[in-house]
Amino acid sequence: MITISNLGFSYGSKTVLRNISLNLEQGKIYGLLGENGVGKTTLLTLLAGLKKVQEGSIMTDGECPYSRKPSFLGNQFFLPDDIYPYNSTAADYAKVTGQFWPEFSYEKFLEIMKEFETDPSMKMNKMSTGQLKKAYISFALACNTRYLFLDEPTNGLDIPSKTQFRKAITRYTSEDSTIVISTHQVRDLENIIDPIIILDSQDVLLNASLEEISQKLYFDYGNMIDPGALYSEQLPGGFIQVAPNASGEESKVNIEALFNTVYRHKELIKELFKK
Amino acid sequence: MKDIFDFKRFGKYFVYDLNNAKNSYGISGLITALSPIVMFTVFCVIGFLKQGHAGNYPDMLQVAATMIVVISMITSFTAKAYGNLTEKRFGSDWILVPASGLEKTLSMILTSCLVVPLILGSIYLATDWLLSVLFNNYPSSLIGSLSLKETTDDISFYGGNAVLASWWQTMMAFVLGAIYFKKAKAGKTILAIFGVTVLLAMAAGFIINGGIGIESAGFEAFLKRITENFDAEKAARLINVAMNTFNIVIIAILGGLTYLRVKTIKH
Repeated sequence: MITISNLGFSYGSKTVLRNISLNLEQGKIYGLLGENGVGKTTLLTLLAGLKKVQEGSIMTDGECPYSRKPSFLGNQFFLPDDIYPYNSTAADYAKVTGQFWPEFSYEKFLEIMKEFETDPSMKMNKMSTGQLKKAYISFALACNTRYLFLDEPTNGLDIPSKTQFRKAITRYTSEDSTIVISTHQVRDLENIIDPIIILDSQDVLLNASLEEISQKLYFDYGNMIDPGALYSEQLPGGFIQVAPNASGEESKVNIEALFNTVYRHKELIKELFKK
Repeated sequence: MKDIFDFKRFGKYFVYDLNNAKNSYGISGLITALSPIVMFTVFCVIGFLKQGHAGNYPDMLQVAATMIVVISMITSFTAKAYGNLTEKRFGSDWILVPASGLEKTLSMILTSCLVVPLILGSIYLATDWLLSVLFNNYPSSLIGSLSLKETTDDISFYGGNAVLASWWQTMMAFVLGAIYFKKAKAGKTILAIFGVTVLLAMAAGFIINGGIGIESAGFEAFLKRITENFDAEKAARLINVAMNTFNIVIIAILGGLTYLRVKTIKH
């Protein structure tokens, strides 16, 4: 379990994260959403131990990530958005680098690469952005870590690869893994992320499971305008509207509409989801 | 304890590090090590074009080329092999490889100061020797010109293993420069070495001139006293101890700073 308490981080005089408190539980795939520059990547790098916490604390199973102990690093994998194209084949990279993660499986790496239709014998610095991303995603999943942090993993992937990515995430991660995926492309991950965390500059606007969201908000896909809706958007053939769920009726959560609703009614949403 | 140092993990990491060094410096290193062939070929071609025959390859050129190769290796290897640690993409990946800071530092130092120079040096000397055997107009090989006994004697008289210590200090300074400076790594390292040397020389001058009370009347009186009671053996012993202590301290400081940088590098 990851416990984030009153986390604060600044780049010089620019504060990016302030007073962030969150608990990330095992066995869940968290979707980390937020506008550009609200600190999603910064939060992931702090979770991975690439940066030092300036205020508050992050504890992962009682360990501070920045201590970068090998036993701790072997339990996690961070996949940044911008990845390094090594001058070696993906297969060699996986063989040589994978040995440091105790649960790494080379066979699993090859299997995922095959599903992604990417040649592991290809040099990484000769791969396209999408191919390189798929090689790294395959490696990340083959490490079989307890914690997996993915920053914009679907950036650079074509449409079939996005589908393959969704399948791979659900198929190749263990049930007790904690996965945090930061993304702008919510439609790519709509069916796999649960719970949803929406970050604002210096605040957590929402941290709730899809079940909680559908209990508290109603997503209407009809073609009649609801004057009481918090958010309304015209779609081909109707509307998507989000309103407080007064009747307790269940509905399918539309993450994009949820995101827009949360950003338009920050205080109301925070109040609604207060536990 | 296993989180600080583990022999098995260190072995794996060392191989991983060497593999990365091969990928980033392999071709450049090989070209550098085989440069006597290139130099000799160019010399022969120019000779044929100008005079119709190759002529004798001058000893001076052989030595000068070797000096250039050594300097080029010192200044370029660490920047190529470890310089990208300050770059976000490679650096992030490297930091999160599950090995300890001590293992990463030690591997970096051993690779840069010992393994790579030994491999490249051996290839260079073997190439040079082969040319001397195959071609009459190539001077005697560098390895044959070195008298190991004399060299060892010289080294032991001038302060233990002063040449080796200087080599480790220089390479370690370049390792630190490669992971510390973001741009112009070699140039900034050379400037830093120059700056530190000037500071150390000033400090030594201050000490010799009675700054810490060696001789109240200053350096001249100090010199007079030691020349009057000069004991060569005692002086050599004193110099040895002083230089070895100095070298060990400098190596320890450079190693410590490299470890600190490895532990605290952020992306």
